[in-house]
Amino acid sequence: MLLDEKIAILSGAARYDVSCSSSGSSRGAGCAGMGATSRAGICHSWADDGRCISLLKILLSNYCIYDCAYCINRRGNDVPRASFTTDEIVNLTIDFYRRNYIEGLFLSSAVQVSPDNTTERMINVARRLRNDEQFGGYIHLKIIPGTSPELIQRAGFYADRLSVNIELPSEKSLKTLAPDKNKQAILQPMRRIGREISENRALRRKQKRLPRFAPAGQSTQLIIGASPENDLHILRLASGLYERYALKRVYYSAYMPAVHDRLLPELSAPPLLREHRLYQADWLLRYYGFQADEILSEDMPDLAEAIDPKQAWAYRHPGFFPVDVNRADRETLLRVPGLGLTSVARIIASRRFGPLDLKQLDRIGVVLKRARPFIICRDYQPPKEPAVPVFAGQHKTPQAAPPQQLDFFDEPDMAIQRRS
Amino acid sequence: MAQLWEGSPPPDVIAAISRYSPDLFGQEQTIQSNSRTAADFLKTLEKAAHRTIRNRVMYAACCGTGGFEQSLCEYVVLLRDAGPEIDENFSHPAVAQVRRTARQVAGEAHRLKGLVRFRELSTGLLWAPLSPDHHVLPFVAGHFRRRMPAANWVLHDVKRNEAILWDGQRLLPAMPDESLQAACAINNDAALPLSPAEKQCSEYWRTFFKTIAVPGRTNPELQRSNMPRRYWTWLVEKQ
Repeated sequence: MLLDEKIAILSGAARYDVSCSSSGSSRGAGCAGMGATSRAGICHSWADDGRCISLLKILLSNYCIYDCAYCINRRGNDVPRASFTTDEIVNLTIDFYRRNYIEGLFLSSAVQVSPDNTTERMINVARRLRNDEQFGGYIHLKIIPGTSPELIQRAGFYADRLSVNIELPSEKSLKTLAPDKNKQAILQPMRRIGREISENRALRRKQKRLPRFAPAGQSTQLIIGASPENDLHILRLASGLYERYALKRVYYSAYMPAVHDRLLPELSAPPLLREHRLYQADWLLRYYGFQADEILSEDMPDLAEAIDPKQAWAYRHPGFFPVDVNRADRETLLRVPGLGLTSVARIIASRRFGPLDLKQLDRIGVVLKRARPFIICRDYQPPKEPAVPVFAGQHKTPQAAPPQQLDFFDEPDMAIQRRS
Repeated sequence: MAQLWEGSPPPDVIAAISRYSPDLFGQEQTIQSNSRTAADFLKTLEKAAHRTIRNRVMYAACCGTGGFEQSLCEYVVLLRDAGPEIDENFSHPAVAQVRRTARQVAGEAHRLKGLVRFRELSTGLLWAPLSPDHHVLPFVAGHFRRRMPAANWVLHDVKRNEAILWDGQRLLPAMPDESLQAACAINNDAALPLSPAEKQCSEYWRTFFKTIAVPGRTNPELQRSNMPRRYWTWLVEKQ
């Protein structure tokens, strides 16, 4: 088979993996080698679907022994199959890298013989790149559920980032749609990676020269809309992953009906808006100090499509507003719609020189259109009774429901894990 | 700007010669650029203020679209008189303008770190043509010096006919030869003196670029907003 055909098959099979980040790691090029990573990450192109291309995202092989209902590469699906040799991927990565097409390699694979067998072959590619080619660019390795701890440890010393895909937001859905995978096989490697990262960090404080283990951390991915879980469930799961496993990112992927299966919903279009709102809510969790249960509640378990989650929160809490931008602290400012991390930092820096007015806020970069109803500044106060748009079901007082655990984290073994 | 710092009164109007229209009653003064004075001035600035402020002035001064000169002068005078803290006052018009200009230039430099495409010429040299809005070549060159220290490469600003060459040890100003300039005007793979491996590799890249997009999510608007059309000229995947 021609290399060109292999590239078409195996990048086509890899495109449903969302992560493309090349950030969070800084590595320098040695004098003989090539490549470095940039802490902020660099996008090299944008594909026709508008998503950034930063890494050569490719599968080692799409021959699969598993039969996950949602996956285009499932055993039962009739698609063209191919596998790369180690040399092919290594050369392609180097050739693309020196032309500045890419920031590095994102390598995943279908499960060929066994999880360990497949992972071992992926590690081999990374080892060749690092040791033989002195490659200093970014490497993201996908860890297949069920991979043994020894292999995970080896992978982490070659890769900048590791990721294990959770795929479906609950154990039940996993059982129905991905019968070859199970919760334990997914969580165990995640736990292992998390532990390795924190142990490595602690050791490196004493021994600076120790090699780094997955310096850009670990991430995961969930499919949205292939199974019945609501947004509250998904956000609780995400915040659990951030808090307990110190994940760098949770990626959400709107379900694309790539294969037909009676177990899957028939969608006319992928739920792209829902995916977008989930990312917005995810940002609120990670950077804006929100809790999952503030964004949604049992009474209102799904994100509104019409407005973003931050605005929705603001409309539900009229008593919190208006906020005086010349006095409020950072946490309070971050809750105001139209103010982001940057504009909040700028407001705090600038108001030392005197109270700010609307014109100055505009210059600072505040989105006045959105912020105006919620703020007070030197020359502006919102009308007494702000016109609050009414969204169905959003004005009920949330009942004090007992905090619920996610079923993904519910098992006794997790409880033990948490105590240790 | 060095003169301003030394205490010269700020000018009423300042602009690049190409964009300047003389005023009937004004007094004119032409300022010659001088790399020695500029370097000294930047050093002074770094000492008196901060590294990030020096960088901000440097980026803003490399703006290629004009119209920023007045506020840059005002900003420098402000720094001198009010101290470096003034840089934190985002609500001051001159500070905001200089920051915006600097961000535009730095933004383009960052964007080009990703969008630069090196083509392997038949001589083995990696050659990257680009037509940036601003004078960003030096910033981009610094990035690739750290990244590809062992290779020989050249960044070629086709719009301004300038180039910077890395010979494995130093960054040098270079003059692209005329045949290459002519080939750039045509800009297709057949006209350019590319190596055989280069043609093969760019085909692989085009294939990858095409298949990595998810078919049901086509979104040309988002693609253009991240990667404006004016950069497509030199993008291998967009040819």
